[in-house]
Amino acid sequence: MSASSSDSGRRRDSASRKAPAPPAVAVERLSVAFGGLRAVDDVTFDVPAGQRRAIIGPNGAGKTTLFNLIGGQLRPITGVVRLFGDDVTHRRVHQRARAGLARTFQITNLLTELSVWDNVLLAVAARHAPVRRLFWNALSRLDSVTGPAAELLRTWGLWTVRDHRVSELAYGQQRVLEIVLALAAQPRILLLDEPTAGLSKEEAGRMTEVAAALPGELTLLIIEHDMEVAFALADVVQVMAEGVVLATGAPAEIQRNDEVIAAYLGGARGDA
Amino acid sequence: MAALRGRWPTVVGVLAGVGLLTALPALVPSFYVTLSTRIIVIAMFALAFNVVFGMGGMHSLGHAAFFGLGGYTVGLGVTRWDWSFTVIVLVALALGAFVGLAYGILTQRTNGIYLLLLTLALGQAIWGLAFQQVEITRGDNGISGVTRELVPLVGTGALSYYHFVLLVALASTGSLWWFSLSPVGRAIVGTRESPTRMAALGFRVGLYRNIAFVVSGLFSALAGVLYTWHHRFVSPDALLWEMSAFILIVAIVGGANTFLGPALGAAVIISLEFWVSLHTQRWMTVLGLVYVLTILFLPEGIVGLGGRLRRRHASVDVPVIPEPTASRSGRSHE
Ligand SMILES: Nc1ncnc2c1ncn2[C@@H]1O[C@H](COP(=O)(O)OP(=O)(O)OP(=O)(O)O)[C@@H](O)[C@H]1O
Ligand SMILES: [Mg+2]
Repeated sequence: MSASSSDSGRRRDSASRKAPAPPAVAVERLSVAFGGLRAVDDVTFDVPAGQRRAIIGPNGAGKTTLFNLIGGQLRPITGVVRLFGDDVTHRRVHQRARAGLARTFQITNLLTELSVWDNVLLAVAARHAPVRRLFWNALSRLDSVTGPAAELLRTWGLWTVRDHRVSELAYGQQRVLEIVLALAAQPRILLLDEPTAGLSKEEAGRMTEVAAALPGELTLLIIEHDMEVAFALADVVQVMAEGVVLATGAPAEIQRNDEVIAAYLGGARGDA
Repeated sequence: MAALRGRWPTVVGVLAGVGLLTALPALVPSFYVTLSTRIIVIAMFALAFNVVFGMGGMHSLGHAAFFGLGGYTVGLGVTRWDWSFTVIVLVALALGAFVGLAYGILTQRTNGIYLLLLTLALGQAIWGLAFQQVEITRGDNGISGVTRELVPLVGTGALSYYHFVLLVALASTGSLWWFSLSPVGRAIVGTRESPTRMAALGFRVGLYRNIAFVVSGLFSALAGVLYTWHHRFVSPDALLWEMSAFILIVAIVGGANTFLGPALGAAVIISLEFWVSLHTQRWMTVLGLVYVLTILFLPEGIVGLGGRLRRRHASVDVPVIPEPTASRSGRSHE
């Protein structure tokens, strides 16, 4: 990367070669249990920065639980979560968010009685520490917030409904708003939990385009039941069942994997 | 868009309201000036309460503590400790803010009925303090003879005190309005809507709850200051849970989901109290009835009436939004 020919430059280069960039997300021997049920059971994997990884698996496989562990919504009973090499296992949700992690929720989680505009303003404000603490000046009059918020809404086709309450939006628009809020914080890691669930085929197609158009440097983890979407979007597919990772590999590999077909793909095809 | 177009009638309305309130003593018999003073004080308390209740969505049944602490600061500052006006007001504000912070910290992560009971217990603990420290507070007898000599009034009597109260209340209402629009104010509303979403965005939810309690406690205490000087008297009743329940009812009846709803609730309920008391001793029964009727028929309070009409009217130009489509994979989504 560096064109510098100075000694110090070369030394830095060789140092960084010895210690490669840490993965964006790394989980190590992660477990959590609900009662007797191990929803995530001794799971270990790394996601390199910039990778797009689809996580697939049958209902109850532990996919959402895994996201909750990475996001901080749940604490593991054992194991470690690292974001860009930093151990965040004991950090709270908002601290992980400030470290560059954003997510959407499987069950739509928005500020329902507020307008679309207010939702996005707050999401943009969240990334500016001085703005977050401002208790004079109207939020809707801060150019540093309204500018990016307007741009996001225009980009994602929600500009015309910005004055509507979120509760008045169509379900598909709410799902898009979930992604918009997550992106508003300009995250480095984005977790999408079934972004196409509950959408019509047409809407799901648009959502896939939307996901495909996300910036390349963004590390993306996407839980997806729709195989076409998962295989189209992902560099790597990770298959989970009963709290463990069954297989991880390129989409083409996973499609040929017998164990995966037996555990998951067969079943899913059956009820599709 | 609608908000922009709707702005200038609001400005005219606010100016007209302020003008009317200022001119009121010249328009009505002096008895009604006293009644209006009481309305304005309770309205201010209700607006302050609503920072926690309406904005923050936190159900507090302990707000009498802030109000009563403000009230006792005046009572004791004037009759016992010879404090100056400035010291009295600053101590009241500091106490309101400090106890507000204590409420926020002690109720971390409690919601709904648990929060209600916890704030009730905290409020009653402070009431017990005033009730039992007879040496200082004269217990149940309360503190009388709280003169207004210290209050920087123009002129004397009920009229000038009315204008003083009006000025403080308008300044407080303006401040609370600005606060409610600020990033911190909006974030408090956000935590009401979804704490988990706000946390995932990077907001420290607990901090915003604490700020809500501090701001609410501060302005509630200031309302308590006005209250004691209004009655020239303060007793543990100002701290009692019934006062907390009363302000909760005022906010709900007026409409806790809007900024000025609680103030409207104060106007309606205090007026009703006055009118009912002329005819019967059963004010508490009537209040209970009003509350039940509001819950049953006006879930958004009195302001909900206007809102409902406006929305019915507005729904004409809201574009039709397609129904949510069923899940493709056939799985049920809650
Ligand atoms: N908060 C909870 N309390 C108790 N059990 C839970 C909780 N959350 C998840 N579970 C259980 O843990 C298991 C894994 O759930 P999880 O939601 O992670 O599955 P998933 O892979 O996301 O499934 P789906 O595809 O249906 O979303 C399930 O058996 C579920 O019932
Ligand atoms: Mg799930």
